[in-house]
Amino acid sequence: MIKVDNISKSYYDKVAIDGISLTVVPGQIQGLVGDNGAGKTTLIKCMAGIYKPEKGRIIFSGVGRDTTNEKSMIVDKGSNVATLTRADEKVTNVSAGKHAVEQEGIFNNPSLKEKIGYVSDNNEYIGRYTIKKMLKLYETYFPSFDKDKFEKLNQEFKLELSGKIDSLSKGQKMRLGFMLEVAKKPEYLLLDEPTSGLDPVAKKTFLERLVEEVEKENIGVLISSHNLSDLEKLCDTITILDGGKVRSESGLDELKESLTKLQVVFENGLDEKLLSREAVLSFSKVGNVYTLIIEDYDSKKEKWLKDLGAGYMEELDMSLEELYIALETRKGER
Amino acid sequence: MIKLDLKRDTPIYEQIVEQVKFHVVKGNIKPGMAIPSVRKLALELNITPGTVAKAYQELERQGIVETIRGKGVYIAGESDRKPDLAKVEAAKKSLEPGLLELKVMGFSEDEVTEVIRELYGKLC
Repeated sequence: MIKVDNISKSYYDKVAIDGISLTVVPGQIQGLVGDNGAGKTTLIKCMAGIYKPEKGRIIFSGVGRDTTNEKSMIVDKGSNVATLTRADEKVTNVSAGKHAVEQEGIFNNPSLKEKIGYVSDNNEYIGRYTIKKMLKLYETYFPSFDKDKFEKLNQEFKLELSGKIDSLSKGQKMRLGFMLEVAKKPEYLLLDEPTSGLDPVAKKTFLERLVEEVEKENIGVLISSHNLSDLEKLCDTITILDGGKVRSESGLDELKESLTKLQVVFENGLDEKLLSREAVLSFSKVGNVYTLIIEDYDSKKEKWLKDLGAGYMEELDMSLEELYIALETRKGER
Repeated sequence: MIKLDLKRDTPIYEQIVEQVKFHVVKGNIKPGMAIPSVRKLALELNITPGTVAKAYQELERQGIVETIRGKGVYIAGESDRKPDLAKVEAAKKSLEPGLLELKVMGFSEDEVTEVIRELYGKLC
């Protein structure tokens, strides 16, 4: 587990992140969203050991692979095979617990950097090197680096190994960064805007390889993106950053359940001033058909709408994108 | 393999449960065969992994699939399928309105049985 505990970091007099806490759990994918300047990249760079936070701590407990984790998406089963595996894991866990390598601070800690893969939003490698030479460098620095794994990934990502890094496009550098960091066989992956710059085919490949690593190797992932529809099908939990602070951290499904999107017909029209009083985050209308986004919708609020003259009502499906925009709009009003 | 209809009232996870069962009954996927992992199916269908996990938990509870940790999700053998009294009752209830319709139109018990045979035959 990587436990970020109340860290802060400023650039000159500008506070970039301010008292952020979060955890990254093996086998889970955590999404990081927020406006430009909300502190996503600074947070990830602190976790990757590139920046040193001024306050707070980052604790890394290396309990090795194959650890059980309660929130795991994998469904436990009752048959003999699973019972055996589970018993094994308990033993591993107990022994790992005793010798758990709990290390504090990733900054200036090369042995930890091997266990944490980091793909930046702006991957600058040594430009005059060929990819082949870069591979050699990784092999020298990281004993765990698995060249076969890199080559297997490259069968899909298709980079020319004799090509110079300077000649790569932004998307190609992103592919290279992902392959290098995954071939390091890390326990955690920190990905900063990994899908920006990737073409649709490369993006599909990237998403498929990423979930495969999580399911097979039980790695823990933190991924930031503005592409909310990508995060939606990928993440178990979503953390929303706002002005350098954590605004919300919850399971994606719970987050979606906290808001309800309704299509409501007000046959006799509606005095719209009444809507903002209760927890209606946003509304739009076509004629007398209103689309409302309501927080914590319950029977009380249903009655309130009916009293306002609501006729036909239908609950609609809401995407993470709509949800995020509704939350942002509310923030703007307060 | 699975197609979602977002306009239907049936929750998405139930649609997944329904369709996996349909393919199993039809013999399109046989015991021992792997089905997509939770995260792969979520990517494919553009839905949250939690929704797929919920569907797979339900299928597992009913003994339709089994999860082998670190390996994947597999269709269980037929003997693993647990009869579930509540489900049987629910299935019976869903047949009632149709039978009533047929009886009103004057179908005899034999004729109704024939209709059911025909429907059952379509599943095999």
